[in-house]
Amino acid sequence: MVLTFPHMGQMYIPAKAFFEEMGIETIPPPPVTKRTLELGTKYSPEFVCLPFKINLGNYIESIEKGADTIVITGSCGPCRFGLYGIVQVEILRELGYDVDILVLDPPREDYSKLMENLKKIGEGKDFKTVSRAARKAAPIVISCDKLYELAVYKRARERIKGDTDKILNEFERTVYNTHGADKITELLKLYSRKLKEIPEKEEYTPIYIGLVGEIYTLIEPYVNLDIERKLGLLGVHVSRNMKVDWWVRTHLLPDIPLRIKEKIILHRGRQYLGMCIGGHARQTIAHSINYAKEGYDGIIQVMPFACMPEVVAQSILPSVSRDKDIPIMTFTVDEITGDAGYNTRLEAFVETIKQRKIKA
Amino acid sequence: MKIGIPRSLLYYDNYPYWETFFQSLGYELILSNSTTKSVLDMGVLACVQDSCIPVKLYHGHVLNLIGRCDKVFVPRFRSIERREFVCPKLIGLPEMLRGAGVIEDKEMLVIDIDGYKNSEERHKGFVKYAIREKKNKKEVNELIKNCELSQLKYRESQLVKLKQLENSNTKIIAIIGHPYLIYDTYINMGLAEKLKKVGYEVLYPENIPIQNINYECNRLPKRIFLSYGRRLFGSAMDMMRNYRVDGIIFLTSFGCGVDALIGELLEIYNNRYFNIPYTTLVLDEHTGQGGVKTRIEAFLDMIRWREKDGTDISPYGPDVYSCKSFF
Repeated sequence: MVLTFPHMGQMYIPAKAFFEEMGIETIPPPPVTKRTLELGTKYSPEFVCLPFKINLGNYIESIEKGADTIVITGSCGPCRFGLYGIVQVEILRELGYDVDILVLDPPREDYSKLMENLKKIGEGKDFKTVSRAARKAAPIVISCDKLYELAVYKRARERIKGDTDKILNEFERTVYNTHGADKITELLKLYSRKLKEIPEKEEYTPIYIGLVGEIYTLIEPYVNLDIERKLGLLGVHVSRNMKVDWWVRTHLLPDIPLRIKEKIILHRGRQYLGMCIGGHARQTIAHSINYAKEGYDGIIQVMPFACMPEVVAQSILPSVSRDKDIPIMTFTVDEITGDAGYNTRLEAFVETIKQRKIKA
Repeated sequence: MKIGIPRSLLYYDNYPYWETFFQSLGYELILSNSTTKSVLDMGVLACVQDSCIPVKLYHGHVLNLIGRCDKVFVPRFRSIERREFVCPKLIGLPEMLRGAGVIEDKEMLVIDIDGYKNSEERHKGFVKYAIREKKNKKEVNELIKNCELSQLKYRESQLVKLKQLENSNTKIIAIIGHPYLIYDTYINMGLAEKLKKVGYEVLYPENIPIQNINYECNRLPKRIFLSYGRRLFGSAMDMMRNYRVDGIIFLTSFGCGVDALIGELLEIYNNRYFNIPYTTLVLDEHTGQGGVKTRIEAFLDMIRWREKDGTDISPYGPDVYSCKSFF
C-alpha cells in the first residue's frame, strides 16, 4: 500500500512527516501546476468547485508516481465537500485506475468505519508508534505555519524585493526531499533563522489587509494565484483567518483557549449570520468584523466559483463593509490562470486603501 | 394580516403545508405572480452574480410581493430529515435577502425548519409561531397535524401517477431535477409540455415512493446528506434499474452545487450499468428557447432511432436488453 493525499497549501509537510514517522510508504503529490489543473478540469463535472478539480489532478499525478491509496478527510455538513469521496472514486475507476479512497469522516458519523479506515492506514502499527508519530508531527504543523507567517511579515517590509521568496522557494525545494520528522523540524528552524536575517526597511508601516473566505482557496497558493505573495510584494501585510495550524488546533487538538477565542469571534458576527450554514461562511463574516475591529485597512474575500456557502457570505459582506466602514473586495477564482486582470484588481484595491489612508 | 408567499424554491414542495397553516391562523395568503421575464430580471439585478438561477428568482419573487402584503414568509430550511441538510444557500436565504437590500427584517416572517436532530422537530418553528399567535397548545397540535395531513395527501397524489403510467403503454421520459426547476414552467421553458406534445409522458422524482429512494441511496458507500440530492439520486436510480423510463433528462441550473456531483454520479452509473438515453440540460438566465428545443429534439431522435435501428445485437455499444448487476 502506497499512500497519497491531496495538496492543501503546506499541509503536505506535516502529513509527510507523520506518515514517514509511522513507517508507511507515502508519495506526496507533486506541487500543483498547470498540468494538475488541466487533468482535474478535464475529468471533473463542469460546475463542481475548484478544490475538487485540483484534488482530482493531485490524485492522478500521484497515481502516475505509484500511489494506490488516497487518504482524505470527510464531512457531513451542508457543504458538498462531504460528497467528494464517492464521486472522485467513481471518476478514477472510470479512468481505469484501481485505487482506494479512504475517507476519514468525523467519528459521530460512523465510528466503526472510521476505525476500520484508520486501521487500514495504520496497517498493524501499534498505538505507541502512531501516538509518537502524531506527537512529532503536531509541532511541525505549528512551526510550519509560523515560518510562513514570518515570511508574510518580512515580505511586506523587506529592503530588497524578492529576498523572502528566494529563501522560501529554496525551503520548498529542499523539504520535498527531506525525510523524517526530526530532519524536517531542523530544516524549519534553519530557514526561519534565515528569514529573520533579511534586512528590513526603516520606518515603514505597511497596509494591513485581512484575507477571509473558503479554506482551501485561502490555503493553497496555486489556486488563489499566490495572493499572499502578490500583496506582500505590494508592501502589504496580509493575515488570513484560515490556516492549517488553526484548523488542526480547533478541530483535532484540545486547545481550549483558542476555541474560546474562536467562539467569541463567531459571536461577534451573529447579527449578520447567526448560524453555521456549512463551509466557512460564518467564519468569513465573523472574521471580517474582527479584522475591522482590529484596525485592518481592508478585507479581501477569496472563494472558488459556485461555492455554495461563500455565495451567501458574499451577499452579506457589503452590509458589513457599510456598517464597519472598511473596504471589502471579493475574488472568485476558477480555472483561469492568467493573472494580469487579477494583478490589476489587487493593485487598484491597494491604491484605494492608500488614498483612503492619506485622506483620513 | 396578509402573508405573501414567493412562488419559488421550496414553495413547489411544501405549499399545502403552508397553506393549511396560515389559513387556519386566519391569515390571508397572497402568492407572488408566476415567474415572468420581469420577475427574473428583478431577481438577477438584486442578487449577487455568482448565485444560481433559482435563488436569483427567489429574490425576484420577493420583490414582486413587496407592497402587496404585510409580511413575506421566508422559511429558513436547514434540514427536513434527520441528519440531512438542504443546500447552504437555502439555509442562509433570509440573510441573503437582507444583505442584498431586497427586504427589511421587519417585513420578513422567518420560520426555522430544523429537523437535524430529529425529523419531528421540523414542525417546531411553526408550533412556536402558532403559540405566539395566542393559540393554546392543544389547538396548535391539531393544527400541525392537519398541516401534515394535507402535505401527505399532496405526496400521495403525486405517487398515483407512477401507477397510472405503469399500466399504460405510453413512452415515458423522466425529468430529474429540483422541484423549483421542474415545476416552474417559465424557467424550464415548458419542457414537460414540449415532451407531452410529441407523445411522451413525464415522470418526476416526486413520483417515486420514498422507500425506493432510500433503498437506492443505501447502496452507496456513503450516505448522501443533502435531502434534495438524495431524492434526485434515488429516484433516478430507481427509474433506471426498474426500466420505468425510456430516457432521462437531468435538469439543472447553472452553478448548482448539489447537482454537479449528483449528476456526475448518475451519469457514471448509467454508463456503466444501465445505458438508458441520458442528457443534461443546464438552465440559466437565457430565455431564448431555440437551444433547448434543438437539444430536446435531438434527444428524442436518439431515443426513436435507437428503437428503430437497435436489434438484439446492439449497433452502438453494450446490449440494450441486458443489465449488469449494480455493485
